[in-house]
Amino acid sequence: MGGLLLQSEGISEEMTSLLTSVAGEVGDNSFMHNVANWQDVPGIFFAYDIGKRFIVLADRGQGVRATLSRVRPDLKTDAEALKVGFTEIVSGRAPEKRGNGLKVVRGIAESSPIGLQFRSGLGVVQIPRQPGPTEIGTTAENVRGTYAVITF
Amino acid sequence: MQTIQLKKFGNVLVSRPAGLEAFNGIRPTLEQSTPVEIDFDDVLAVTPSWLDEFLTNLAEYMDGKVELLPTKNASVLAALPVLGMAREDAVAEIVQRALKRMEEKST
Repeated sequence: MGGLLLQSEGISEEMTSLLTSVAGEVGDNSFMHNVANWQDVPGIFFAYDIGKRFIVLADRGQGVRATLSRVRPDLKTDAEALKVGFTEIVSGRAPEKRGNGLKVVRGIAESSPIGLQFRSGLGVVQIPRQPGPTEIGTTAENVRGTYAVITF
Repeated sequence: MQTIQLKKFGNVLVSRPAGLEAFNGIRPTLEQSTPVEIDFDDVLAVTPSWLDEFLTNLAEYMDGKVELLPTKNASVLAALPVLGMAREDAVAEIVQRALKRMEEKST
């Protein structure tokens, strides 16, 4: 994907670097947090259309709340779990020193022309394509696992 | 000073297992008493997880004697501030030293 992005008109090397990092981190998380714990379908869905400027990643794993509940059993909603995942240095694989990837993803999306919609359970994280703050809320439709749409 | 050119591992560096594999691959070539510097030239993108895994293991093996060469790689510059504040250990110190040097160089 990185090579194709570099060849695309209007996408700089800096944007390619950031997009590759965001997509790589989100996709890697799907594997790292679901190994041996897939609900039904193992692996991730990964697709992109550079012309239409979007990348989609999805998995049918445990979801963010179930993963983080191991270290934060007080989490009551999917939105709370997403807030922790995207704003706090905490890992569902503690005591390993991990849990900073989604913070970097948020920082990149908030400060560059990269948008992100990240859903898990009933929770949703929205970061606008034009640099702006993160909004975290609840939706009516449940997503089993995680679903991310990156726009640029 | 020893130099690790990250481009040896590819130009897109993604995932914790790959970061660990990269460290395991380079470890036999390292002299522990000599500081090591990391060169990001010709690398397109590094994810925070890859960098965290590689740096954490390298810093432990080298007892903190690791320096990051200045870079303009956007993915690295995005990841470093979070890695630098994520914990209080050798990695955080390495990252903070690197960010300070890059800041001084740009002013």
